[in-house]
Parts: sequence; C-alpha cells; structure tokens
Amino acid sequence: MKIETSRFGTLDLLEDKVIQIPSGLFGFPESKRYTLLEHRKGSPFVWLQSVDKGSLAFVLVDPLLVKPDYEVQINPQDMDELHLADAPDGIQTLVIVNIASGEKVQLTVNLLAPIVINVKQKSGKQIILSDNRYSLRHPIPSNGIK
Amino acid sequence: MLILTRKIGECITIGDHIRVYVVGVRGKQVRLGIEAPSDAVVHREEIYQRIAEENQLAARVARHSLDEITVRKE
Repeated sequence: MKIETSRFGTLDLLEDKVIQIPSGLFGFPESKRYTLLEHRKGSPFVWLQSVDKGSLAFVLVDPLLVKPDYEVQINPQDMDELHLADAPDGIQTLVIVNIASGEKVQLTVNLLAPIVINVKQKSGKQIILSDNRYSLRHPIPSNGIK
Repeated sequence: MLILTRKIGECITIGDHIRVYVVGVRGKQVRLGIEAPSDAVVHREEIYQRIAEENQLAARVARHSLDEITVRKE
C-alpha cells in the first residue's frame, strides 16, 4: 500500500504494519489507521504516521525513558476493547511528545493520555489515566532521555 | 436531552449501576457525587478538550524541529 506523507514522502507500507486505532486520537477522530516509523537510526523517538491523512503524524517515545516509575492503569473497558487480557506480554505503551515554546523551548510528553497498543492484534487507543500524578505536559529533563 | 431538577442530597440513577448525587450547591458551582462500577469511565468534560488541544499542538511538530531540539541538548 502506497501512502503520500508530508514528512516522509511516499511510503510503501506492508498491510501488517498498519495499526488500527478505531476511536482515533483525541481531536482527530477521523484518522483511524496509523503506522510507526523510526525517527532516525538509534533515536528513542518514533513517529505515529496516519495512513488516512498524510500530513498527520505525532512523535512518540517510550514513557519509561522519560519517567522510569511511570505506571499505566488501564480500565476494564479499555482492556476489553483492545483485548489486552489475552496479550499481557504484547502491550506497548507510548506517549506523545510535544515541543513547548514558552520562555524556553522544551520537549514535553503527555503522560496523562498515553497510547496503548496491542502489538499482536495491531490495534491501539489513546487512553486517559485517572492518576493525578501525571500531566499533559511533563517536561523531558534537560539531561535528556536516559 | 433530559433535564431534571434535583435538590441537595437527591440523586439520579443512570442505568442499573450509576448514581449521581447532588452533594452541594454554592453560587454557580454544583458538587456531584458519582457512584459507578469500576469499568465506567468518569472524566470531567474539559479533560477531553485539553487532550485534544495538546494533540493538535503535537501534530504540528516537524522532523527538523525535533532534531534541532534534541541536538541542542546533547
């Protein structure tokens, strides 16, 4: 499958690289199919590129690289939706990276609403944690990613 | 939309398992108590809006800006 993207040009995607996100991401309900692309060789960042809309992509990172004690409590409804009970070892959690351009330009991650992926089934969802320890804009420490 | 009037201490029931109590009213603020099973997700409406806005900002990140900021850091 060939897709045109604004950041990566034309991509030739194998069907099994497509991740279904049936409810879309918050603010982008219309885009339901994505793929993961590495940012650069060896980079901790990956891109979640929309298959449905070539100009839509998000930078993601493994939250444990930013906050080693990060915990995700997935509610039973989301567990069912993603069939996660059948895939305890195949759950991937990633968080969206943003560039905050306040007084100092800084990378932040959205720890409140991670993206949870059932790796085997290739389906995912952006969930909201009911945990007031986590913020929408958690700064990535200035010494970078561990 | 169903619109109901309730007094403090009164309750409405949604389905068989969800109860919403009016705990208090002060000026324009209403405090609600919600009893729901653990699989029912309850969030303030604004949180969805804030996450959608944060996603919209994140969708503007370009490849080169990520490189610039990560390189500057090293």
